Amino acid sequence: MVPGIEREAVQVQRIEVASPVLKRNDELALENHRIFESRGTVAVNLMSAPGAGKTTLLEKTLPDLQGRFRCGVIEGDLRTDLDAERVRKTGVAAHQINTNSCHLDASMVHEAFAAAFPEPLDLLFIENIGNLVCPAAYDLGEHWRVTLFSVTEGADKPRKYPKMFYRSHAVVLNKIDLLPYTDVQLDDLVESVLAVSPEAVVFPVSCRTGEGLEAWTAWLAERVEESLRTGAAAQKGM
Amino acid sequence: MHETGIAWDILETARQEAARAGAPLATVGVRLGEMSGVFEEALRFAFEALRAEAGVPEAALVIEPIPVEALCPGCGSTRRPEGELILWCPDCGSPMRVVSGEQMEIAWIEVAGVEDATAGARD
Repeated sequence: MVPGIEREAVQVQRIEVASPVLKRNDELALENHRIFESRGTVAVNLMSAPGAGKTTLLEKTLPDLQGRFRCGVIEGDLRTDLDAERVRKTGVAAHQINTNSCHLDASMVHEAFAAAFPEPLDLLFIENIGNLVCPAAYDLGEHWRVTLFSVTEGADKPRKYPKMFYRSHAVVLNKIDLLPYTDVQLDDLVESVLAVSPEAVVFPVSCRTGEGLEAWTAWLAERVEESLRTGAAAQKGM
Repeated sequence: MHETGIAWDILETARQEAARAGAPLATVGVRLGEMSGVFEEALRFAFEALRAEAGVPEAALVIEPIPVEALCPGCGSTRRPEGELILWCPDCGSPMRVVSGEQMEIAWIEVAGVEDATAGARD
């Protein structure tokens, strides 16, 4: 007990609040989600530890998707717009958010999306800040949460950072070309992901060799086509 | 790392609630899930560092830890995974869902009652 409180115990009055700490973020995330829905944009929140290969994954994924869908990227980083520059080289529009924060929040995404993507967009990637803890707590209004996890990080990471993996719809397991140089087995890595996220779809890939990327890209394409179908159906019904 | 922002949000909400009650904030009670991704130590540190700036220099923080609870939709059993989190039902082998332990909630505040505390807001 805090001494000050005890002294005034007689006069203390308790008021129930029962309000989520991130209420403002959650409300704005819901608003973002409504905007994505109304504009027919599928939003993917891409998260990982630093250096797992988020931007490289986008560089390898976008060329295949942008012929079929209108794509855009919001990049989050503490400093520099190096990542946005790399994405732009693929011909896809990219908007860089620089923030001192350890995660992107719904308000940053809200502003960035309104400012940078006035044109119709089918698929929006939001590349979060490299961090396996904080981004997991902040909804951005996305449809799909994807966590990228690389072979060299070790099989224990999903169990050490369960929230991030538990909340992910898909987990991309990158750098499988390095497996022969490590003491890690692919099965152990997949099992470790599924232990904390039993319903996640896992894509073992190598962005360097291109192995496995087809399945990942096909999964994304399906998500967008699904959304285009329901969008068209909803319009017909109106 | 995001505990600073979290602490600020807690202080802001608590300050507003206290202002609405028209009395100085004494304590804020927070329910913190073990799987909320927030480190209690870091949150306490940030809370103490920021409370003066938030205009509630006397505010104390009480944290109520909420354990992780998983439900098996397959057989309906619930359990509290101790230690390492493995979300496969030990009874029937189905995938389990986390039903509690992710929350981060401002549960209550305590204000120093200046005059006669109003009956409606009292427990």
